[in-house]
Amino acid sequence: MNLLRHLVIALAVLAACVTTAFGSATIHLKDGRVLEGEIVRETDTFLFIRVMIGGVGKDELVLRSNIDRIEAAEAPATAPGDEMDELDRDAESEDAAASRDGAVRVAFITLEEMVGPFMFAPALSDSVEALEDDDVDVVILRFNSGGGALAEIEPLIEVIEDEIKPEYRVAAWIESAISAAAMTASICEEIYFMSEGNLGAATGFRQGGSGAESIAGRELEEVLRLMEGVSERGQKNPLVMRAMQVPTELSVDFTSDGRVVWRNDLEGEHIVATENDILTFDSQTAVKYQYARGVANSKDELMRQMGYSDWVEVGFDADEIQQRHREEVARGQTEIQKAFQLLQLSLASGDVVKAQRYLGQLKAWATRNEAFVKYNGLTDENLRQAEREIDRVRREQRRDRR
Amino acid sequence: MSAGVIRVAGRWTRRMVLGAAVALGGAMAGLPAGVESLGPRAAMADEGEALDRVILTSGRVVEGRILEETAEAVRIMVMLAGIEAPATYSRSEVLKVERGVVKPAGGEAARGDDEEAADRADRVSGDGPVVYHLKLEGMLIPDTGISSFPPRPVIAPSTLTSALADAASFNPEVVVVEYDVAAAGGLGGVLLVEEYGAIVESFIEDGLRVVFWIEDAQGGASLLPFSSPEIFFQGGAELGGMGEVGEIDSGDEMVDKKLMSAALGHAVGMAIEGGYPPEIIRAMCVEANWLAVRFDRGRPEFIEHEPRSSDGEGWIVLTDDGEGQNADDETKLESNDVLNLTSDWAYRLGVSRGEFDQLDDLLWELGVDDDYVVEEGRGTAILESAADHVERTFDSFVRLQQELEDVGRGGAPRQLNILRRLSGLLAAQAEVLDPSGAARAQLEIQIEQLRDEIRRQNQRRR
Repeated sequence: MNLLRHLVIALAVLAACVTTAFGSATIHLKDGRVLEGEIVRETDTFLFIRVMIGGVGKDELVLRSNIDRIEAAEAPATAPGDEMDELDRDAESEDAAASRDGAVRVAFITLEEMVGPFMFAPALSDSVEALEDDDVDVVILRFNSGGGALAEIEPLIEVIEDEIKPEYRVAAWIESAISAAAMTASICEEIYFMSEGNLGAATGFRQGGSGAESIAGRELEEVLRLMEGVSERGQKNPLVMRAMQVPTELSVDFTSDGRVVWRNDLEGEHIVATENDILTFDSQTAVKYQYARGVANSKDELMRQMGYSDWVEVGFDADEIQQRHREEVARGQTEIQKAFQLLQLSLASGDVVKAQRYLGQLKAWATRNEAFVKYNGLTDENLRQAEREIDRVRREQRRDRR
Repeated sequence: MSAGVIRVAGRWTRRMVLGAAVALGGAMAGLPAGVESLGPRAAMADEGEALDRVILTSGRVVEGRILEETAEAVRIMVMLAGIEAPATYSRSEVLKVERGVVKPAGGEAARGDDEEAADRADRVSGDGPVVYHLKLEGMLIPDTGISSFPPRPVIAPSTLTSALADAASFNPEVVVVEYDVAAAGGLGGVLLVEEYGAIVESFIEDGLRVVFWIEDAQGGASLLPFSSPEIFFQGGAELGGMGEVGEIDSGDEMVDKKLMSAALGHAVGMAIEGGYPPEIIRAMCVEANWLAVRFDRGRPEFIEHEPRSSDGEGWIVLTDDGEGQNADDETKLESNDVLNLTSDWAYRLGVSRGEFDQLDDLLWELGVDDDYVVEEGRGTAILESAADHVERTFDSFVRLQQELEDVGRGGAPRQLNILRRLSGLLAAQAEVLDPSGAARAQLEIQIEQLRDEIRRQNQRRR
């Protein structure tokens, strides 16, 4: 274990960006200055060191980017789970080194905005297809979404499970994954957070005329069962996702070797969720309870966490597909709503020529992107109904002229 | 058929000036911009008489003699290669007008970006470090667009970006953001402030040292300073008033819990990124949260439940659960259902790094060398100008709505014209007044309806 600790300290000194844990340290800055004192606060991008000036303590802000190296005066205390994490990372590091001679090729795919129209399984599938020529090793799915349609979760999970996982090492990188986004991300065995990241609040609900209504009964049971399966495939305790969906008593004990043991009561050492709330992890709790493997605020940090020192970003086309899809959906949603209303208006005023024009616009949107068919009502049936309505008005007008 | 109107909440009426039309946005497209015509040199100014300066939103500075200044435009006589020429700039292009501030030095009156940058570089390349002082005062925008409007100057996300970008252009050692900002509290406040937090964080990530100096921070705005690792207070300052994030009424208790959980996840995330204890944010946002603190060699330790004997001694309860006997008495000043940070407590809890009333003292604490130069740049002007544009656009919108109602039935062509102008106003300030574009889409439909009505009227006449 001492050897492992020395290795951890050595890595910290080399990289000057690994979490140091609070304690006395000597910081060598790139400009040549040396600060000695106690690190009293730190994040992934900066730290405060309390230096003594004339017997008075003064907290100095130091950006990690300005640090050449840090020498810890004593070995940092090992938090529960740290040793396992370090061993895992070592193993991953070796795997990474063994997997290829050159740099590891990593594709970052952004999954943003509303699950369903914006975070859309066929679009993700297109992105995966675009990876084929890039000789990709690792796919990072970067989540930033406040949730969306339950109906899209299974299709998205199928793409991740059937198209990405068999070909690539995949990890979810969480800026924000709320509700349906949290459910989707949980299929990934490897989850990393950004400092500001959050994941949870996965209660299903629908918005009706009289307000919001959480799903219940058989519908709720189905979603709970679905997510139990997803949690297991993502190698996570299903109780965690359940506490994100419905109020659930959830607590944690740590074993002597740092493993997390989840409990469906409040008798554990650490209370995670109660019957009065819905669980959302922040970056600290996600790592503490080993739901996430680490915190990374940059691609470099993420790669280091995943055990890669030599990597190169590839797969830009794959992400461009996502960006283009989101732009098109954003533009289309407003235009479709407008065209729908104008179509109705034209029919009401008997202007069949205009009505035909707006129907043509709607058909064009439906052809352009499947998401509009599924989430904006541009189904064949709706479009045929509109055609029938235009024909009816046209026939009435002919009859009136006669 | 009468054209409908988008109604504006009636509570914000103090600025409903029904004066001369304020043409903005699309309506300004017809105004000639820049130099109109060249003519022989006339007496630009008496020898030694100070000239005027017009600062454009593009950053360009134009100097000369202002000929005319109206609500729509500014006309200024400039000198180009020794020849005098009038130039007109629409109000939407103009950031600030300064009269009699430039000593005529002969030669060209109009100064380009390069010259301005050179001036800036001269100042910045002086011996002392540059400190950029930005007074951030006002209210973060509501997410309700035109249907509700705040009573204080609006700070839009793009405006904050522009102000910080201006600060960054000085390559300052530190940017001191003197902060007197409010925003809606509760869930809406949390969600709103995240966008602003991301802006501050992105500048910090790019190496800009941004320090918040709190004068007053209320509602959702009290969370924004947590996006920076360095917060200082002024004497008597307060940071809080978040209100109960859980005070949501979606119509379903479970959905309320979900929304609260998500909002708290966002707020706590911002604090973690800034390096602050998440317990403080939870206590600021949730009434039911207990927060007790004790100090170990000056460093705060927290528990989030009512102190028990097994927790040891020395705990100070900062917030209780607000239940039963713990409920705050609204007739008393002191309350502890949610955490509002005074300067003293902010310091003790490690949120604030100190209380300073003078910028000099703050800069000394920050370790800035004595020979510093304080730059205000265009930051304050950017904020004031942007808020002013929004306010005038809103006034015009309200006035046009009234006109639309007054026209009533039978005035379809005029209604059509007004609707188009309303749409133009929203487009000009879309970020604040119509962020989703929904209001403009609605206006377009009204325009289409009206066109149909006009067409039918014309057919009937034939």
